[in-house]
Amino acid sequence: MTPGQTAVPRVDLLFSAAGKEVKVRVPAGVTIFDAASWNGIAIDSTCGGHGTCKKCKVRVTTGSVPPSSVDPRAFSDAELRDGWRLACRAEAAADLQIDVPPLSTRPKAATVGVGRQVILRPAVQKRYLELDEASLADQRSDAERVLAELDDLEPRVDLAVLRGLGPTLRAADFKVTAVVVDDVLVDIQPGDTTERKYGIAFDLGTTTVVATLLDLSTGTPLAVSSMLSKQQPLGADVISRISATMLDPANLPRLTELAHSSLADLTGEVCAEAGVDPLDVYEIALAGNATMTHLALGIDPEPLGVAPFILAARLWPEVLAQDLGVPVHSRARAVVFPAFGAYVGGDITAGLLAAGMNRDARTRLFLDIGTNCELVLGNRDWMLATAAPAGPAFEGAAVRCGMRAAEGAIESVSLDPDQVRLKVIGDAEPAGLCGSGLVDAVASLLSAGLLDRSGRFVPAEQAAQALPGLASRLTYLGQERVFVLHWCTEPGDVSNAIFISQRDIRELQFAKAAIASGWRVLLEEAELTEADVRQVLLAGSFGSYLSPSNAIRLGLVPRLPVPRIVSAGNVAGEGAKMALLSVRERAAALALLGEVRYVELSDHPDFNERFIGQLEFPA
Amino acid sequence: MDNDELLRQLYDLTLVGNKPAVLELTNAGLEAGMGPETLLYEALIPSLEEVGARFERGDFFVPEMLIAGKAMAAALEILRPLLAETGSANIGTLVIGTVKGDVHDIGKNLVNIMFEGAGFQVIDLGVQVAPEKFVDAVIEHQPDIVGFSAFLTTTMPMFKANINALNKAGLRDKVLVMVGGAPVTQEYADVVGADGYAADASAAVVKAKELLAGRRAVTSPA
Repeated sequence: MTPGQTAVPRVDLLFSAAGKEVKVRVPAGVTIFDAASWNGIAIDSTCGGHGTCKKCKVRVTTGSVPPSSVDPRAFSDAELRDGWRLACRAEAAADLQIDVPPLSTRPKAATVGVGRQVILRPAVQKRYLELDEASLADQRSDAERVLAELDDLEPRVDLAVLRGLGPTLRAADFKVTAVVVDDVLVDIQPGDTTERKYGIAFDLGTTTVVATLLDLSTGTPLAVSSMLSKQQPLGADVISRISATMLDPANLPRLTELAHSSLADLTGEVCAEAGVDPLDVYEIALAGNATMTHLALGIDPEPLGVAPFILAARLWPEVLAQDLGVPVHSRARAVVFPAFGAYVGGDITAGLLAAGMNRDARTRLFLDIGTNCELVLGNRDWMLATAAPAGPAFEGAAVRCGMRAAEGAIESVSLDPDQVRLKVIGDAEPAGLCGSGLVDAVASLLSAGLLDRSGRFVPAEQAAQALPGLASRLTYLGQERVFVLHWCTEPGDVSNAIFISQRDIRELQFAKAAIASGWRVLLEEAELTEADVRQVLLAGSFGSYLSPSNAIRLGLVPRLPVPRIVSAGNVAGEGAKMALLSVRERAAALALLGEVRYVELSDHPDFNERFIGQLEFPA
Repeated sequence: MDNDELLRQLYDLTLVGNKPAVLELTNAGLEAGMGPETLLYEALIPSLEEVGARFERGDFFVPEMLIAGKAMAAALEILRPLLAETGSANIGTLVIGTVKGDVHDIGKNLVNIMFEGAGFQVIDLGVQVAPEKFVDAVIEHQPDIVGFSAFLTTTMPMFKANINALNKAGLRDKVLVMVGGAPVTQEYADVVGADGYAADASAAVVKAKELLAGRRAVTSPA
C-alpha cells in the first residue's frame, strides 16, 4: 500500500551469508551491494561500490542478472555462467537468491545507540602511499603521481592541497598519507597517519546541542559532550528565534555566530577528552531542525516562520566544517541533513534513518514530541510525515508550576488512596513540574476520577467520594481550581505549593489535541486505524521519560498494548553518527526525501473540528 | 412557566449550549409577549458573560464555549430582525481576521462568539488576511472596530503593516483597532499603535465596550 503515491515495485532477495539466510525486500533496480549493505549483510569491498576493487563477488543462484561491463574483467566465462557477479554492478530487477562468500577481510561494524549495526564505510578514507620519486625519466606531476595510486577512488584535488604538495612529498621521501573525503583529496600528510581519522556528529537541537567524537577506523564513539544552546537568550523556541531576526537584522549573524560557537566549544571538549587533535577530524555531520539548520548556515529563516512556511532549500550545497564555524581540519566536509518541510527537519530525517523506518516492514508511528511535534507514519514501502504545533506545555512553559526537566523537577507522579507519590529529578526538594510529570499527573487524576473526560475537575462532593484521602488537595487558588501535588510549606498554603491548575490541564489538552489530530490525519490518509500501528517510537529525550501507559491514557498516542510504545532515544544524534560511519547510510537518508510524503495539517479540511474533537480525553 | 422562570431556564440552557431548548424558550418567550431586548439582555447576554468567566478560570473549555456560542447564535437569528425594528439591533460592528502569514483561527472564533454574544455584528474575514483586504472590508462595512489576530511572534509584525495600510487609506481615525492572540501583550499593542488589547475573548468584549463608550463620549455633541 502506498497512499497517495504510485507504488515503487519491490523485489525479494534471499541472501545466504555466513551460514544464515536473510530475506529482504528492496525497490527494484537497487544493486545487490546496496540491498545487502542497507540490511546489514557484509559483502567484501574496498572501493565503496564503484566497480573498481572487484572484491564484492557474489553468486546469483536463483533468478538472473545480466553481466555488467565490469564483470568479464573479474570473472571467467565459466564463473559468469555460474552466476558470479560483482554485487555493486548487479541490479536486482526481479526476485533473486544470492550466495555471499565468506569475507576475506573482517568487516568492521559499529553498534549505534538504537541497537543497529552499521557496516563501516566512512566517506573519510586514508591511504598510506610509498610513491616513486620523480626523476628525469618519470616527469609526471606530483598530483598525477599521487592520483595514480588512488585510481580506485578517482578523487578531485583541492587547490589548497596542491599549494603544499611539492615540499610535503619531498620532505617525507615520497612516503605520505592521502586523505580523501568522498570524492575530494583534501590533504597529503607526511608519513603514515592512516590510524588517525575522526568525525564529529552533532545533534543541533533548539534547546540542547550534543557532539559525539567518532573514531572512523573503528566506529567507536570516543567522547560525548552536550551543552544548552547559546541561542537561548534570543528565544526559547524556533519561532521566537525567527522573530528575533525579523525584529533586528543584526540578530541573524548573532544567532549564526552563537550556533557556531556552541559547535566549536563542543568540538574542543570532545577532542580534549579523547586526546584527539582536531586537525585529524575530516568530516562532521549535523542533524538539526529546519530553523536551527538555516541559522547555523547563516540563511535568513523568515519564510519558515510565516505561512505558507517555506524552506530555503531541502538539500544543501556542499558545506565545509568551517562554514559552520567548526575548528577542525580546514578542508573537512560537513554532512548537513536535508529537511522534508519547514517543521519536519533534518533532525527527523536523521531520526528516521536511525530508527530504520525505511527498512521495517511493520507500520510504525514515529513521534518526536516537543514544542513542535513531528509525526511520521509508515513502513519501508511508504511514509507520511506531518508537524503539529504542540505548544510549550511539555517544556514546562505555560504551566503555572512548570519547569524544564532539570534538578528539582517532578518527573513522575502517581496517586495512592491517601498520598501523592512523586519522583523528583536529582532526588531534590520538588521545585516544579516538567512535561513527563504533567502527563503523569493528569493521567492519574483522570484514572482516579478527579478529572472528567472533558478535562474539568469534578465537583468537590464527587471528588470526596472518589478519593476521600486526597480530596483536600483539590482546592482553589483564587477563582481557579487546583490539585496540590506537594505542599512546600504547610498544608493549606496553596500559593506556595506545587500544584496543577485547571488552566494547566487546558494547556496540556491543547498539546494533546494537536498531536492526536496529527496522527489521526496520517492514519486517515493511509486508510488505516489505530490498531494497524505495530509500534509507536517516541524519539527525543521527552520520549524517554514519558510513561507509555499514561501517554495512552491521555490519548497522546494510539491505543495499543503498552509494550508497543517504545522510547527510541536520541535518534537524531544516532542518525548523524550513522552518516559519518557509512556512505551507504548517508545515501539512504537522502533517499528518504523521495520516499516521505509531507502532509500539511493546517491546510487539511476540517482540521479545526478535528482538533476540537481531540481536546477531550479517551474514555 | 412565568417570565422569570423562563429567563432563568434560558440562561441555564444557553450556558450548557442546549440549542434546541434555547430556540424553544426564545420562541416561547416571544409568544408570551416578552420583548426581544428582555430575552437578550436578561438571559442570553448574561449567560454568555458567565461562559466567558468560566472559560477564564478554566472551568469551561473550547468545546463548551463553542456549543454555548452556537446556542446563542441560533437565538440571535430569531431575535435580530425584531431587534432591528426597535433600533437596538447591535451595539457595534466588528471586522476581524487572522493576519497574513498566520493560519490560526480557533482563538479568533472564540472572540467572535463573545462579541456576537454581547450584541455586536461580527464580520469575520477568516485567516491569512492581507492588509488590503482589511482596508477593503473597513470601507465596505464601516465597522466601529477592526480586530487583528496573530498566534505567532513571527506574524505579529503584520499588526503594524495593517495599521499602516489603514493610515495610507485615510481610515485610521475612522475605526478602532484591537489586537490579540496568544503571544500578544499590552506593550506590543501600544508599540504598534493599536487602540486596544485583551488577553482573552471575554476581556476583549469588555475592552471593546469601553473603547466605544470613550469614543462616543468624545464624538457625540455636548
